Amino acid sequence: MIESALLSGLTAVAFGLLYQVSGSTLVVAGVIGTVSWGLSSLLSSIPGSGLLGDFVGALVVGAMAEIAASVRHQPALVFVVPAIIVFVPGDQVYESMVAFLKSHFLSGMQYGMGALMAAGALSVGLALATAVMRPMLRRGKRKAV
Amino acid sequence: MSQTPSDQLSIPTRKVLKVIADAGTALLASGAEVARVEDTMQRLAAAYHVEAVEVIVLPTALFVSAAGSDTVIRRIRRRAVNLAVVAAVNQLSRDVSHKPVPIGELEERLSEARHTARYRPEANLLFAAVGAGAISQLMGGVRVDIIPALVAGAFTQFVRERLHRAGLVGGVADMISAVAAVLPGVAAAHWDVPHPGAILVGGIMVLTPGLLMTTAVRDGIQGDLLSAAARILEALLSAGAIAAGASLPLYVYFAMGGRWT
Repeated sequence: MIESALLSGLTAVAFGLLYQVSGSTLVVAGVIGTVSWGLSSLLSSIPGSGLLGDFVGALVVGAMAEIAASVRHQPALVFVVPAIIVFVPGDQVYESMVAFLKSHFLSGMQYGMGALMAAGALSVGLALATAVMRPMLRRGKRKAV
Repeated sequence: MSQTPSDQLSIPTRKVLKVIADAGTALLASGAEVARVEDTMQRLAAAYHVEAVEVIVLPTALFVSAAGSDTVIRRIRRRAVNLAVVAAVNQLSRDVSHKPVPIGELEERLSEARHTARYRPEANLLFAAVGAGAISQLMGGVRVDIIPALVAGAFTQFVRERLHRAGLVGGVADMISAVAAVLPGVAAAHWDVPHPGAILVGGIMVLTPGLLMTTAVRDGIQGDLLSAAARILEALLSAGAIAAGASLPLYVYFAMGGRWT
């Protein structure tokens, strides 16, 4: 699991580079990718956890990115986009595609719905993290000033 | 033309508005959220003492207007993901609002920021290859899968960049790039690799509209519903185009009776 978490960090760094992010920002994005995937796969290993892993993973990505953005005075987007890529349910979309091509429509629909649900869980996680963290961080800053 | 307060500072308002619109265009074309674009433009306007500025930003256009003065409208046709530009323009607007510089210098630094820290196209191939390789391992591939996945990532990025340079963007470009993304996986399946699916997903992930999904969510929270809806639609269309493009070689391969695990 540690290995896969590190791989996730590497993915975040590679996609960060692909999106033209540079310097120490990449390291932060890599750490966010590693921690979020580690937590997410830990939760996913619980039987019957369903989409909890995806949701919490996105929540952690969003929250850590908001904190990093406020500390480093950079747009949160720079951290979120590279780190969220690994959570995109590409394998389910692929399975669904292959099932449809083989005329296995039922399992195609099943995988497709799974992918849509996972994408929904990711969106809700990101949205919740941003909506909660941003006002908190702003208020904290105002107090400090 | 009447004298506005900013004219006394010897900066014509129209010029300032144009530079502000340039900054907004750079941000929007690189994939920034609507709220950030509007924020940056307002901040720049305040730094140059342009009074009563109204900014409207849509996903494909922006308007900036100062009271009793001009309106500048920009249409954004080409969009690409470049977070370096977002970060650089953001930094520039922060610097300027602390310590205003002459408008000419701002213009220069802005055009610098628009071409900032870009890696060379060959380097991008390597990044895409590493990304695809790592994804293939995460998606349940075995060690051998990493080699075709590296090829798939680099090849996909190569095709996408060529298409972009040729002026082909949007759905059609996504579709053709997806065809390229799948070919190495199909070739590997032909030569008995245990998990051709992992290779395939690695290649396709290079094309994922991850930025669009993220900005759509963030726009939605901010209440920029028009932009959120448009970006969700764009992400769905792009995903559909990628799926369609990826299906084509697979379909032909299956129809030819190719083996697939």
